[in-house]
Amino acid sequence: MAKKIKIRASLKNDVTTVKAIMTHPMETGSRKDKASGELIPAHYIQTVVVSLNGEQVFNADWGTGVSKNPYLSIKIKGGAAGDSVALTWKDNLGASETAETKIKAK
Amino acid sequence: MEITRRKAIKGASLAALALSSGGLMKAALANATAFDSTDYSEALKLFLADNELSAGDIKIKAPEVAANGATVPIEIASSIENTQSISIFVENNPRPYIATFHINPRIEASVSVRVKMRETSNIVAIAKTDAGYFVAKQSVKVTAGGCV
Repeated sequence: MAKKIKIRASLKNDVTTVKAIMTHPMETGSRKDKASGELIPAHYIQTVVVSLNGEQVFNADWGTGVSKNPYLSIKIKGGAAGDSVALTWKDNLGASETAETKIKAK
Repeated sequence: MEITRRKAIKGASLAALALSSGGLMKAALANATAFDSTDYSEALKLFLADNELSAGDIKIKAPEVAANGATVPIEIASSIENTQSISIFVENNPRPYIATFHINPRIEASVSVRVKMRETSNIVAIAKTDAGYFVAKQSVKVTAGGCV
């Protein structure tokens, strides 16, 4: 399966900036299919968790208002080059995906 | 009906009991329904429960004019001590409650994300701290709305 989450973590001045782009339709449930005229069911990411070396440092609760193919950036205090940063999302249909990267020093 | 002191005390203690036992469940429930709410003031009410909101030192970085409402980049940073979470609302969206980001001491109280905006609206950022809830707003003009 193709990697659907792009994630990067870079360390600068003792702060690790994590940037991620997830691939997800983020359907609100109020959009109509143009061909059939029927409502497209809601399908969106509900929770996002970021961990540093396996320990959770961040989580978020999302609604349908976050853009399609969501972008997220957070700043972790500290961290060292080579530490692992992982991001996991779960959506309202129970699907889930995780991606991991190593911190690069800038 | 005559209100006696005894009756008043009984009533108050019953109400307190009902509040305390239902409190936890209500908080979890309120969060789910705040996301579903289609009205900003209702969503805000559900989100805050009975907490007061005051103006605070929160920076919102968002474009003054967004050409594409489907993806409006915003950055929110709270300078308030012990910020526990940052939440985003877009007042005029069909579902105004966008997201809550939980901050812990390991990360900085600053997040960047892209949101959908149906039309010109205020972006509302709320920081929850151990001293209460704080708010900041910024208006974004949307020239082409995102399908939300």
